[in-house]
Amino acid sequence: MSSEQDELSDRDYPIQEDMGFQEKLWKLERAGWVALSLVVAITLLGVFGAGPLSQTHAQTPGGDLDIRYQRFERNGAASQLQVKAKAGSDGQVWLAIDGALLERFSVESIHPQPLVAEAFGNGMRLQFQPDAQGWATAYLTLRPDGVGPAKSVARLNGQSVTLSQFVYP
Amino acid sequence: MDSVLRAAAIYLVVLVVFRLAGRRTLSELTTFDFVLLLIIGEATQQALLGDDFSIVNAMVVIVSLVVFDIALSLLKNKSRWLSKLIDGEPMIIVEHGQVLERRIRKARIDEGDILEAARHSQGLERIDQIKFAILEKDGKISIIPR
Repeated sequence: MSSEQDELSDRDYPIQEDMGFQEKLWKLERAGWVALSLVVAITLLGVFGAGPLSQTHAQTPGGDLDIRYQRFERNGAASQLQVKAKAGSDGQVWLAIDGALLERFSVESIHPQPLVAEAFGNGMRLQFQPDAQGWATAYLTLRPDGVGPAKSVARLNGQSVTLSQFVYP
Repeated sequence: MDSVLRAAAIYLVVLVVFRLAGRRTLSELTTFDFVLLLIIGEATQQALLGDDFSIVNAMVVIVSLVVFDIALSLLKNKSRWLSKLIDGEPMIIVEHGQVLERRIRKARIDEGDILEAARHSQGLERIDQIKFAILEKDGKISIIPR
């Protein structure tokens, strides 16, 4: 009868074996399965975008501006960004954005359409019609074009928030 | 430049994933495995081509993949260690009618698989009619009858 120990020894007929290496390969294979399962798990958590770890929001100190966005983006994959902004003293919502949001992303759509979109410093400025309570909500569809970390700044009523995102290849 | 990097990344991912999946996983293709392969191909295609559907891009991607494959085969020729790492080695799983239990367990096959191979290739009926059964690099089982 072949014992467990005997099975570990190399045969040289009809083929030359290297069971020591084979054992290492099996170990590597098992470790690889764990690694693959981890990839699935962290993807479900949102490390590659769209999940609890990816969904985040940034708020100005005064709470006038609240932006919900994805911390992790994938190159070429569209995602949504939600802006909730309070009207300023003039009763208007003027949202200014610049940085990566314009350079590294293409903004595919803005709903509702801003009343005005104009150049402003290095970025652009959007004007939205607030509701009766003085709030305006807008949805932007973004599609990253480029990879790596991306920092953008949004300003409203003299305050600003920074959005830090990472775009995977 | 982009296309070559895309091709390299996909080549590496496919190589690693299929190596980790083990030699048995997709060697004996069932209908389901075949469909799974098609789906994997479909998922890969977009990442390989991106939004560039030009002929030049397709050509570059194809040529890159083939070049990587040639390079890898040359490397495997040079280094026996690399060849063993990537392709594995044949392994004896039945010896003079005795199944080497621990080995087949580790290799994720069972006695049924060996008997199936024995029936297919040699028309054998029982394990004790087998002198050697060898699990080959490609995951197929070759049978040497007594």
